[in-house]
Amino acid sequence: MAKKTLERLKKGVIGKVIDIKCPNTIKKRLMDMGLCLGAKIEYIGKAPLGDPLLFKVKEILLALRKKVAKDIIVEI
Amino acid sequence: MRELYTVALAGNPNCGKTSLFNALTKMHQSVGNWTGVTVEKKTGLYHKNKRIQIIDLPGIYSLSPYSLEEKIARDYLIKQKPDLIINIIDSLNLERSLNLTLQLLDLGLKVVLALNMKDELQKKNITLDTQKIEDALSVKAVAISAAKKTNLTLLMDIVWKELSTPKEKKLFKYSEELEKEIRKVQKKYNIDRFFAIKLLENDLEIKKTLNLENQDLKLVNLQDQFFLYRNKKAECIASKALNKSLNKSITHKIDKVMTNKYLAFPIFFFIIWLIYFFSVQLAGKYILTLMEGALEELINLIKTRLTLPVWAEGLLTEGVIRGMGTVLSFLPQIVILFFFIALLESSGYMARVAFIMDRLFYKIGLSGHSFIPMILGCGCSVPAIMSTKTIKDFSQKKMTIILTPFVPCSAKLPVFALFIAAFFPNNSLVAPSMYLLGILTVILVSLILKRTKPFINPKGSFIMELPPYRIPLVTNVFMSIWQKSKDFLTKAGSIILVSSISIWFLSNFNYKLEMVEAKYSLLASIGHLLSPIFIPLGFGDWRAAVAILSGTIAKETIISAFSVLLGASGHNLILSLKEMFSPHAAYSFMAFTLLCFPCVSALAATKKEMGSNKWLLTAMTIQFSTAYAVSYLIYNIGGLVLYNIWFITIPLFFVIVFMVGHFIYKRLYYRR
Repeated sequence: MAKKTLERLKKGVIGKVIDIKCPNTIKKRLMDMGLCLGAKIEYIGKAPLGDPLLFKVKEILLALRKKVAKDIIVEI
Repeated sequence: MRELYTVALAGNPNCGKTSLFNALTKMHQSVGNWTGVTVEKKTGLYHKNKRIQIIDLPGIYSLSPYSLEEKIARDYLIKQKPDLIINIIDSLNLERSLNLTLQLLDLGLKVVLALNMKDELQKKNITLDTQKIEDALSVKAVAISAAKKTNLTLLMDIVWKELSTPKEKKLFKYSEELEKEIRKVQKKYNIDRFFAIKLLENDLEIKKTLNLENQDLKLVNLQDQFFLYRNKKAECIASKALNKSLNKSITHKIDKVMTNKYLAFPIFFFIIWLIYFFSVQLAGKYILTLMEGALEELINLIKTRLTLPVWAEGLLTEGVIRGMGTVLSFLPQIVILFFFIALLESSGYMARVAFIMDRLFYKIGLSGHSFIPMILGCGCSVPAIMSTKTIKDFSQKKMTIILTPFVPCSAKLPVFALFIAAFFPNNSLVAPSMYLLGILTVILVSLILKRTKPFINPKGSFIMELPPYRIPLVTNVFMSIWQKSKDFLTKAGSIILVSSISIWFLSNFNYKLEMVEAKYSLLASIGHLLSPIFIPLGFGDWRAAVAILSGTIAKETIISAFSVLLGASGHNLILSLKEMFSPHAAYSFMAFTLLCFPCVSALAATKKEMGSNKWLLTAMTIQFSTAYAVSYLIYNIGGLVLYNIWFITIPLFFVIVFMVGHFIYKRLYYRR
């Protein structure tokens, strides 16, 4: 079981969210949008200019800036 | 029995709420604003039973508000307490939708679930067991399709039945441990269950509402436990109700093209070009010429057929008809613009625009959404400002509205053309330099604004859902065009008409209320009064001040104003202008025309989108001071280069302008 920050997740690999270290308002928002603790998350790709990143959580496409993704810890 | 019942529609963004609202209310709807903000508030009557009033709440993910829209929706639910909530659920995103449902149930209001997208589920051969959801949550649930209008009557029959029976006290129960904490807090502060839960979730807004913000409540922070419990529960219900999980392969395939590293920008620019071509070029120029022709005919008709006193004829032709003509001439542009915007928004592409452009804009405090208004601003600021409707973040929206007029619009081009012909006939760099100046100003001002209080984005981060691609519903598109055009005609139209009549009055009467030539009019007196302000910019002549004033009606009017005041046209006008301005003063005047606040039509649009006079004034102040500062620098640096006289005064003036500007910013906006 390797731990990684979300922005370092590779394409096609599914990670499990184990910690969200973002400020509380952002953390709540992420959890409301489906990115809760324990959720399975997959990296889909990035915007043409490299940021934001695109993830799939439970069939929902979520776009996050790298800055936010760095504060989310996943387990592979 | 009561006269009128209020039913609120609540659900996630992109769950089909607008479709359901349009299907239930048909034409019996009105659009206004929520008090104090420019978020749209749609209300309507159920077309089969006028005793049910339906309120369309903004799309929300939860009852812990993150955006302004979510705050409005929550405030409405806890303060106004509708008689019933129809919770629209996107069955393709059942789990997350149920997460909101569980929070709505905490409110203790009557709730009916409308499980939308029945048709799409059928297409994918997925069955949804509504009974399982009803059993788990003890509320009524109906599978509907808002787009195909299936089961809507059934839904509303159930709503009506629920409305006429008293509420059963069945609540969604959390774990025993959490329930114990809820009861404790409820008892301690004597508050509703919902407030107790939010206090335990450490919700600062709720603390404020209850006037407890300054107290240390010594509560355990159970935020994570509540969120986890709801998430687990929603997952559990969803997996029981659906017979298999979904995959949205089509969206993924489209996205592979639309957000592709190499194709994303060409596709995006093609779409923007289409919008620009149809709304600004075709409607803005072609239809405008047609309408202007018709307008001239009408004015001629009045002049020849009717015998009116001179002032009445002037008021009718120059004031009223021209004013209405201006309003109407914007209408085709706005109809076409909103047609495209409705298409982009309901198809799901608008979210992709923000996604691919985000990187370019977030450094200057904006997001990808600001790009469309800026491009449209090259044609006309009115549709550009109207298109900021798509920006959800209010501080970004305000910034975009203030910055968009810095982009040279097509009405400013004839002014530049005249001045270039007069002063820089052999310099091909002057015209492009105006665009460069516009862009540089946008960047510079946004860098300053993003540090000032009302524009600081406290969340500062980009978390966005890219909704699945959908084929837009024709009714929704036309409803949107109809409402927005009507809104523009009534709100912005009246402002444009009134200002057009006032400018006509000012330029035709003197202070004794006698009709006089333009150079003896009230407008000329105001010009004399204001002209000293422009001396540091190099154009202290009163006629320049009058031209700038008449430019507020429409920027191209500056030319006709000069032509009237100097009594010259064509080549003679160029010669007279050359006597009035030195070349660097002329360039300074061009910069001022470019950057100073836009024409009344654009200001009317600004007022409409900003929602208050205070914000309109703020925008105008920022635009005026920017224009003043830039023109000042241009004139004086130009003077330094050419004559060296202002050598000492420049640093002095620069320091003064900087200090005054800094003081104003600090006083008005700077945080702490």
